[in-house]
Amino acid sequence: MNLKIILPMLLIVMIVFASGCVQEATDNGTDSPDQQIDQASENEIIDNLDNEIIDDSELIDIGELV
Amino acid sequence: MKQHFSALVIVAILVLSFSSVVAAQDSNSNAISEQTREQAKMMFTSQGAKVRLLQLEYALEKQIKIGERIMEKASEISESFDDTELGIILEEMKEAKKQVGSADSGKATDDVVQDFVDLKYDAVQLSQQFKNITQNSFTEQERTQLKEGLMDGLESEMAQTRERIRDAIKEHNSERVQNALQTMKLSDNENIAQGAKSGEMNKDQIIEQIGQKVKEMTSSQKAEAAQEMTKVAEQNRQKAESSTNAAQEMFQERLSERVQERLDGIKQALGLTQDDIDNRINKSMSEFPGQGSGVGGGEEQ
Repeated sequence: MNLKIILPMLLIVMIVFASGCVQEATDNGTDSPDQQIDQASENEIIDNLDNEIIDDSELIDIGELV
Repeated sequence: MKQHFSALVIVAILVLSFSSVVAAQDSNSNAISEQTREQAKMMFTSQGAKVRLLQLEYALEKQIKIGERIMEKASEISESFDDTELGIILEEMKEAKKQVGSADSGKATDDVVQDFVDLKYDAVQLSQQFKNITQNSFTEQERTQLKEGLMDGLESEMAQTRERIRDAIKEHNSERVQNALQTMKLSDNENIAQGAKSGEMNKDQIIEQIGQKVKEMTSSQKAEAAQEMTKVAEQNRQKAESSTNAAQEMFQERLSERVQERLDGIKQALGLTQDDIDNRINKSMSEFPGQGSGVGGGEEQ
């Protein structure tokens, strides 16, 4: 086949592929507003639980004697 | 002229009375540390209160055992050392431990929080008084000797008390899990509450398991659950905070009564005179925050 046809086609395929990669990376990097609200709700629930559940190794310190 | 003078005197008296009331309130508010306030936040349920009282009892029991070991070593290091005051402090600690043991976690939140903040203050103050004596009576080198092997075997000696705390924490966590799942309208098919109660799940595992269930909820369910959880937590926090604030009232007066009660319990055994008792009460009152010397060392109360 003629290189004059193959090379532009190859270039177009590469550009489409690269833009796809960039789009995916952008999607992974930033959450949509809905996802952000979801995450905030989850964090709020976990924070509340964290404040109420006691670690069984927790003790009260009343100071040293010497 | 006379009328002006009388008015001035009345105003001066009013200003003085007001400032002494403010000063008294300030000194009372200093008696409860931020850490104690944080610990009291769990006391809005009787199970949470039980955990805190058991933890305080454990802290005092440990301190008494360490104190006894120090006294034994102190007499070996220095034959001339007079350990009378250390002995009185240790006996007071034992009485304070009894007071913690008889505090009822099932009482109204205001009352049990008051017991906790009062007795925790006493535990810290007695420890600090003991430390002040060892620091003033021994050189740094001698204190290093005193510390050697101080904690050996202590954990195993206290294993039973420690287990009681763990059991109370498991029960508390199980209650909180049930409450949280109910608030979020979630089922407990995975038996998370049971896992918390049996001790199969620790704090991290409990939170992870509930976190997994939350992830499966829809966005609107999550938002509603978060809002509801925060509302309930806020109500509980306010309940505990208002009890802690109420405990600030008359703090100094109660301190004086508790010291008197403890000394009454030990005066016969130690042969204390009324002068000895008065001196101890005065010492404890003079160390109250805002009374000059303070408990000292910026120790947590």
